[in-house]
Amino acid sequence: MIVKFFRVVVSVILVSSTLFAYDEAQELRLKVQGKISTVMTLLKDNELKKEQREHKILSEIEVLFDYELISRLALGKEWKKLNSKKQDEFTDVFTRKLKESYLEKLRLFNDEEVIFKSSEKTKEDRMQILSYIINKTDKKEVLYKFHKSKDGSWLIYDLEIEGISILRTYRTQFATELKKGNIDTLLEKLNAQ
Amino acid sequence: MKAIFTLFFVFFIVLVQASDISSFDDEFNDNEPAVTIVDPFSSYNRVMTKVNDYLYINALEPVVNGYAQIFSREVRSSLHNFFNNLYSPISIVNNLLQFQIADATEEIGRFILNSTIGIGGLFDPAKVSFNLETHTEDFGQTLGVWGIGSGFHIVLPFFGPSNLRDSLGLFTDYYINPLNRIEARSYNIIDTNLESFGIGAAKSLSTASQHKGEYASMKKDAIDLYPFLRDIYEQHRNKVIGE
Repeated sequence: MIVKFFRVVVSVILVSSTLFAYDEAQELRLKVQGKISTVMTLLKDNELKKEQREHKILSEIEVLFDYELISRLALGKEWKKLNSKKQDEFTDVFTRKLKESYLEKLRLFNDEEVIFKSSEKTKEDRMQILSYIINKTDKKEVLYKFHKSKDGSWLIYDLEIEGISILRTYRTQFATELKKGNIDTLLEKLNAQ
Repeated sequence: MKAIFTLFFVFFIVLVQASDISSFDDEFNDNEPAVTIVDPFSSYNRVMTKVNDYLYINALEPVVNGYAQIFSREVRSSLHNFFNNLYSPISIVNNLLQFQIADATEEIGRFILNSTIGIGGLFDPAKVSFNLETHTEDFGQTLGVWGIGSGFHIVLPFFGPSNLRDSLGLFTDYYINPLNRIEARSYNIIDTNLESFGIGAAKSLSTASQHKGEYASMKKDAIDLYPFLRDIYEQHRNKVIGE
């Protein structure tokens, strides 16, 4: 009797947790999809000046990113060697760089369309959303990688475009630069760009 | 008592912070392949990257821009379809060599439909009306699927980043292609070397025009161009081999 009851409880918990996970992935996908479709509308809005448009796009999209975590992961073990002032400075500079790079990619958009294929919870605190940027002759895969932050919200820590991880690419570059120089030369180079 | 509490508290904070970032260790650690890439020719590669970059910006890009000004977007995508269709048999062979039978069948269907109804490949009814997707595969990917590692990274003149495996693949695809005339073969479609270079050049131009501006845009993410291009090349190849 007790065993049976226990089984029922466990299966209810299991079923409801998978249902919940499904909903969570679905919910996040709809959220991102909504944001991207707003961005696409803004891109086509010729009434807006370039600066206005880009400002609106960024304010729409930036809430999805965990810039602090991205900065931290991009520096790897070097992060801990910095004092908090330097950490903040790096995060600021790198965040600006990431935003600029995002806008730069959007500037190439013409008759492109974005379709969302799937969203999946890969771990308790990880989620992935798969999407494609398509035009007449080409199809590019974009994978959004989310983690669950301390306050429970899902935030992007990496983007993979055609299998190329943005974070990994910066990580390798930063590691090489820090081997040759130091954090100040790295900041200088990032600022100069 | 207070001291013990503080100690416990500090310990707790350290633990939380450590677990927070170390949960990413399986994805991003300091021994990842990108950092430990085999690169004995890095000084040559650096020089060749500069040469290619110069050629791309100063020779290819102006031509691409001119091409894009003469032909409308529609015409350019049609020509692009045409060249892709022309090279589709190479993908078919490689899909078969990778035992991807479903993909090979889809690609064969595309080739037949687009060569006929699509007027020699100018249009893509296979995708528009029959929903058949492209499965572009080259011999470098085939070798990768067979378990052959990438070997050292090498920057080829004109072609850009490559590695030992993919260079071998490039040569093999080039060699077996009936559109290239390396020696007199019964299945050669082309009579002279000049014609085969012409087709190759036209295809490259068409591809470059479909990706107009992408190189310049991407380059802005680079702190140091050579390792940047090397890493994104290797990451991308690993991805397409895994598919």
